Amino acid sequence: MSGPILSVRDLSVLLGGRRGFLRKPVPPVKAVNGVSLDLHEGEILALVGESGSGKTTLGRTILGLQRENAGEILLDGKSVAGLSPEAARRARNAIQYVHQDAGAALDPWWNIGRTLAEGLLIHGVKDAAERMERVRAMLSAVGLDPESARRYPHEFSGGQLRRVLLARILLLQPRILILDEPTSGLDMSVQATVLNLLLDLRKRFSLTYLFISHDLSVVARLADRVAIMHLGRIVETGFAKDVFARPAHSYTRELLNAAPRLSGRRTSDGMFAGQTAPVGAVSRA
Amino acid sequence: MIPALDVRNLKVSIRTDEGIARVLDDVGVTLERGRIVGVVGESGCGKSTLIRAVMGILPKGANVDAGEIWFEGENLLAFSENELNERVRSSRIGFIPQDPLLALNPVFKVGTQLLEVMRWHAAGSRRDHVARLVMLLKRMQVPDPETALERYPHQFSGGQRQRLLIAAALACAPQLVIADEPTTALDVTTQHQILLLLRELVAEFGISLLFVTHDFGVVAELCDDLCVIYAGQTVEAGTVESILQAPSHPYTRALLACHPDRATSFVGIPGMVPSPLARPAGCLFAPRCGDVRPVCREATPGQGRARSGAAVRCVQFT
Repeated sequence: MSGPILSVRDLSVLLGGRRGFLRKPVPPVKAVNGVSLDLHEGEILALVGESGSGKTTLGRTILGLQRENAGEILLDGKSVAGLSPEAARRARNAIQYVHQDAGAALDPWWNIGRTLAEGLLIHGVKDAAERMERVRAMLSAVGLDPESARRYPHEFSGGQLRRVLLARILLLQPRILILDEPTSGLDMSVQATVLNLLLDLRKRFSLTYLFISHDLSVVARLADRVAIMHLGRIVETGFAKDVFARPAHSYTRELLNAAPRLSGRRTSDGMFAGQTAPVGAVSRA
Repeated sequence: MIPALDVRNLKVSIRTDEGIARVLDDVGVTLERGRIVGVVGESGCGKSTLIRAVMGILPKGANVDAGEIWFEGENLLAFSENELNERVRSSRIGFIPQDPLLALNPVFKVGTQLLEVMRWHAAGSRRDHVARLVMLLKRMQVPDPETALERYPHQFSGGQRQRLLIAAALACAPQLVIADEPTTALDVTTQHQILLLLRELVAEFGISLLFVTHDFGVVAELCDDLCVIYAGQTVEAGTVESILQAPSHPYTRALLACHPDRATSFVGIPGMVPSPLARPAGCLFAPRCGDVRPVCREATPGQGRARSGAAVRCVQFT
């Protein structure tokens, strides 16, 4: 394997905060605090943590929607950090983002075909017939009827909407997908089919996934490597099977202990004592 | 002993523009006193309608066609709206909703909202009510329970709001508590704490808990008994231990096979839950079943018993 396709070094993002002029100044929050990670071609890296741990902010920053305050982002070894949001999006075209809430990410007044063709139009596909042809081909690639291009978002189920979102993003021919909680809110049976589709698409379109999730059962099954995030820092990274079998950081152990498992009830040990900041990060990758 | 809740052969239909929707078609759940029963099924299987039927808050156009709902030895279906309000809702059956933010009014203080319920449904003076709420909030590990009643819902985190609502459900000392997926909106760690808390409360306050979820992991963690619902029918019911160890109904087996802890590959269950407007003849699960036999498509299967002791609605066990 050659070098990583995407590399993040000491990335920090500050959110909020207010200058003090006539008002009390509010210090910003360090949402992402010195994060480093590597994404290798074709792998699935899961970013795991509680809400508020900074996983979504990290995803948005890698994408370019959020400007980093410090640190380096390398795409194919070339630096794409320190750019204005517009320039950052152009430079990071190979990275695309799949929204968490499929229903909210689609315009209810536009049919699916129009929504999907919009992305192609923005990316310079001028011929309307070609746009429609590619939309229909992509819809069938994600397991939907090409005729559903005529239908509206409310006519789809939750699992089908995830497929629509994936089709919309795949039309832009990305190499890296940032998947933000792709299975949250889905029934167990639908979740399985969506995960199956993700694995299938990765193979067919040679994709690399950054998989943001807090569902540890899914992560354990799907991810090659995991990065555990807590209070803006990555506290542990490693191969999924190693981290799940022998978690090294105390926060990872607490997280694993909290996940409901089919093997049943455990005692009340491992209760979260407090939200203390992690001391040292553990890396085994 | 009389069970806390015994729903028998409940059938509910709703009149819609497209025809009569048979939302519940022979659902049965038994909840023994002091136990926790989990009700599991995919979306659209009738879990929420079951809860609404028990509390008597079915939507307009809905009709209970058949069945009985026995609560502590009384048939709730025979109660009038007034009787339900005065003698059952909140006072004897508490409810924990799925979305704690939707359930709280953002413009009133938490105390105002919780005390309002107690004013109508609990005995004693306002001072007693405040004392009980503070005691409950303390038990729920809400920070600063003394001042919590003076705060507004947005000043609490998601997990804390869910704790507030659990306190609200217990405020009038009910015998039965119904929880509708109370942890789906929460993080794993917060969920874990809430589940541990619920288990303790069941023993401590002598309540019985009906817990609706679609997560088998949560069931394994929390519940004593399990009731699997498919397309408005109870398809398998028994103890959690026996069903997780040896699931009998093809639907239960398929659902469990989707769980990442057990899945060998991510295949899911082919097809969809049949629409309550157009239900197939014979077994409702037959179109998606892996072990389907010709007889499945003709006759509706009766209730049988599996070797695990669970009641199963499948021809293989009758």
